Amino acid sequence: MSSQKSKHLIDDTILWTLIDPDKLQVNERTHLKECQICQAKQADLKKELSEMRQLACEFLPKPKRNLRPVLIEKTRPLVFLRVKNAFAYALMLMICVGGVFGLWPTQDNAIDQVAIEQETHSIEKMFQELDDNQQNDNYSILPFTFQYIVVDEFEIMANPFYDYIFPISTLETDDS
Amino acid sequence: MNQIAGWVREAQSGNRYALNQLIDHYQNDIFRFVYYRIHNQTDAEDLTQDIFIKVIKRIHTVKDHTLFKSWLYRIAKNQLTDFYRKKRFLFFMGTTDDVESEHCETTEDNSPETEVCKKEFLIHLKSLSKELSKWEREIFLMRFIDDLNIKEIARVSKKNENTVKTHLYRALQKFKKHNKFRELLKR
Repeated sequence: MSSQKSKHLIDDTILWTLIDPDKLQVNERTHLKECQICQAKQADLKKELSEMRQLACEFLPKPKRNLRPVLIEKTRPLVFLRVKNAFAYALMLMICVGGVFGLWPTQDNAIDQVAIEQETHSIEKMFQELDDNQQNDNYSILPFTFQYIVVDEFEIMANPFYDYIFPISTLETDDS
Repeated sequence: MNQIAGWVREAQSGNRYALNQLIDHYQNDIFRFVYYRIHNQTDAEDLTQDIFIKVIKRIHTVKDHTLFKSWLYRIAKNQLTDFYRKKRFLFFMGTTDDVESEHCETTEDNSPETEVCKKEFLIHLKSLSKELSKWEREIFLMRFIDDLNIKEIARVSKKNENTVKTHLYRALQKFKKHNKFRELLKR
């Protein structure tokens, strides 16, 4: 028996033979090929590990249901229905955006509009009345029946004395 | 492998039969992957279905058809992470009992001996899992329970192959020290 053959592989080396046999040195590989003791050690370990796998497979419980997911085909709606939906969604979006940014007249706005119109109308009516009164000279001091009794022209105004006291004519000319 | 890549290609082009074939091919593997991490059958079934729903929704994103397996396990792993996160949140809110479920159902019609053996196996597996760090456990289970190779594990865990090997080596060292579990496996 050669000295090389008597020098058995250490346990760690035998472990490496299971993981990466290429990692062994040439003399270790040659020894393993020739030495039955080292081969037996390696085979025992291999057997234990394969037994472990076998038992793991054996003791694996049988699934109670089919593990393959059931595939259900999706039914796609007709094209025109999808286009219709797209339009409906776009319309809804427009309505929402319009509502948020006040693009559509709300009820409050409508009421305000009516109130403004009424107010404008009443102001216009008032101005119209004022114009009518102006034209009809309703602002004369005297009642209508007495107005013709008084002189047609306010001659009093022409009087320089009165005009000095009440400078109405000046005021009138200024106003005009 | 070529057949799976073919199914993936077909499934991507809308072939439902190919998609069903893919799911049927992997459903037990994914169920096992989930079950041995959460140890609860109902949750594992729910999660497996969720994983396949995600697969159906995202299968068009698979670029390399030969890497479908790694892609699938990656989805499963992410789904599990989400599950734990959710469960932790519910535990924090006080609406669930525990983050990690401890019970295992024995509703199947197995013989008492098998039931005892199963229970023992699960206890030892959990005990070993507790001794391993997060990544050691994850990689150990992927390698020796889910039967993924080093490259696939590296892709699923998004880690360097050497890092995966190192984690695996440490996990194996701890496994070797777990004599009770090894005795059970030798029986």
